[in-house]
Amino acid sequence: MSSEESRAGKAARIRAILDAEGEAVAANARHLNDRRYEAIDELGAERYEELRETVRGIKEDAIDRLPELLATVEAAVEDNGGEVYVADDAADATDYIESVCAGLDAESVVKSKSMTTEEIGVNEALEEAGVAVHETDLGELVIQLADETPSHLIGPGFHKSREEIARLFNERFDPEEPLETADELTAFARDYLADRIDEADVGMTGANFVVAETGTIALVTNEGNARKVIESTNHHVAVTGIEKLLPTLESLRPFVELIGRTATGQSAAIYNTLVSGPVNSPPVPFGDPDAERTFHLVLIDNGRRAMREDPDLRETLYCIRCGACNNSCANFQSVGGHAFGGETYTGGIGTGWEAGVHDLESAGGMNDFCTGCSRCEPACPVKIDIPWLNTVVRDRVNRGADPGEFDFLVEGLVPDDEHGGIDRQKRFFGNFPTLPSRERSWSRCSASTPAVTCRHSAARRSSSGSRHAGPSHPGSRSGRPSSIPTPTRTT
Amino acid sequence: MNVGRGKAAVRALEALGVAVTVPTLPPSGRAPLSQGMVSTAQERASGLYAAVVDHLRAGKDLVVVEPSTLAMFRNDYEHLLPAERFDSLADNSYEVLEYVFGLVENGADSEVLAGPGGDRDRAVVYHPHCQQRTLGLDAHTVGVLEALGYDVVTSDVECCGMAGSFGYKSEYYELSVDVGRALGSQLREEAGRRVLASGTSCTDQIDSLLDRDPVHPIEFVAPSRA
Ligand code: SF4
Repeated sequence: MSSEESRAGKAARIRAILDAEGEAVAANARHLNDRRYEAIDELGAERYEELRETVRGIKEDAIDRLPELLATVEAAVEDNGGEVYVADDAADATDYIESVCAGLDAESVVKSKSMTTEEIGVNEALEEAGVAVHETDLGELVIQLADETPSHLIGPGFHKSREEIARLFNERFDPEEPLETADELTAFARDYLADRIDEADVGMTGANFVVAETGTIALVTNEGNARKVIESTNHHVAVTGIEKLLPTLESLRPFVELIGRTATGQSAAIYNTLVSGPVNSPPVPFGDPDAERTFHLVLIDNGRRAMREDPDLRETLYCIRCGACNNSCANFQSVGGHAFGGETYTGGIGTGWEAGVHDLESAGGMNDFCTGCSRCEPACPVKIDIPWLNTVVRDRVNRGADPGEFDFLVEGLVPDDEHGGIDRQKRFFGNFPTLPSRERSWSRCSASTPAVTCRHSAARRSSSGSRHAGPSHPGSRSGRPSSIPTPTRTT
Repeated sequence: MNVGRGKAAVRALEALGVAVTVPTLPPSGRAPLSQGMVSTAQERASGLYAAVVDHLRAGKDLVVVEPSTLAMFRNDYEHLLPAERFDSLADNSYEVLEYVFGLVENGADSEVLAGPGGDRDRAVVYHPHCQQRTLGLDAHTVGVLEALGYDVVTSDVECCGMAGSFGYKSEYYELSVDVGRALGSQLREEAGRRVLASGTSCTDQIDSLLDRDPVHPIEFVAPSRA
């Protein structure tokens, strides 16, 4: 296929997604983005920056000490009466989870939302093994019923309008009275899911954070389904990436303070659940109080240890998957994660995850949607340089491509230092400022050079600078960041 | 190349008492960097540094009109240049209205700049370039405009959708237009206001979205040609 044909194909695919999902995605992403600005304003720019610095430092340290933290968490969870399994890859993880379910003669599993289980394909593996899997997060339930994939890191059903969800429920469940309003849909789902949870043998959750010292998993949700899944079943399997480890319970606090704000614009999520090993409360409702209760923590490597060794991709491991980089991205707001997404992960940071846990092909397919506009940078609670990650992955994709058959025979004849396989469109735009002006007369140059220099140091940024100033919402007409530099005149 | 805004920058700075040199500089490397051509961008960064180093050593400040170029100096070059070169460029480069803001804050006479009055409207709507906002420098433009007496409304879309070369690529054209629609409708809501935009690609995008003849803020506030 020529690249022209594939460009036309890509344009058609984007058009189809824009038509089908654009409206719902735009409304949801912009809404969460606006709420994030409000929540950060409420927190105050200074406190926000302080927290970001703190959590960034904790993450850098935790990834640095990962082998040590893994050993600590194994011992702590075992002390609590649970088990830890570190899975090398997706197949290793699903084999283990299948064997846990088989050992319990489990017929059905209820799950709360987890992108990591999407990454390793748990649902498919268990269903193949004859175990029924029911998603209990509303968005995940919608996606499961529709047989689709998540379109957002925290809002899997982001791309569906209420009308579409009502149609789906009415088709699937054929209720006596057709469902219509959000309240009706939620009430129906609640009853339906309560029955699934009652029947289930195993409860599966992800983990937003894992505290190594105490063997505690932290779950942040708004529906309370994670807690219900854990309390109502005798056997809890928590599945998460090894990068979620934090050293101490105390180091968890600033993350909890930030994640609700950057994810959904809430000062705190509704349910913050801490679980250390098998729960010892009696199962609800009416469970056997003497039943044995077990806890399995499955920590997934699946490329993460290699990412840790990769100086560019390593930063991805600091990600707490809040979705702020999805919501703050203008392109994402238009097309959502079914275009700007790889096999599992979506939006700006999705590129880093896909390159690390899947492959360059998956990352390369989504990478072009990052234009480097940099608006995700101040949105990211852990200060990941997401545009740079996308640039690095793009460079790797360029280098990974085979030199095209019509490429220059001698690489030295081209105006850049790039590998011969680079896409010709990229080479054209990359060398744009060096083209003779006739060739670019159809457009104004977008890469201008600095215009003026002056002789006197007449303006200076204050040392606090504004280089990493927090986002100030420009929607408020007078809203200016408090960090306007106060230059000192020296002439 | 859009020379109007460069000339306006010189006029404004000279009126404020700054001695201005306009050097001929090679490209910053933004274009290859945006295409993932990291080693080419690295070459460009070194070339640019070599071309300005004498000016920097002579104690001059580097004032930049295009926000995406300034973002190279202050952010991206961190990945492309040795630390001390990056630091010296980052510390000594300024966005043009950031610089004007600093001059005025420190006592330069803003009367020499063009304020509202006569046939100039008081009401403006400003779309800051995405990278300028990330650098926290949209506030300086708003600050200068307000100090001059303008009534400023700022757009709150994250990006104009053109994003350098993105909107020129055939496969992304429709997406770029869709993204631009959000900006278009905000600008339309402020129908009576003069449209200001700080990025070249933003200006292009707005030009193709509506018939409002957007200008760079420095062209707007610079004293008219003598
Ligand atoms: S990269 Fe940052 S903003 Fe994006 S999901 Fe991860 S933590 Fe959130």
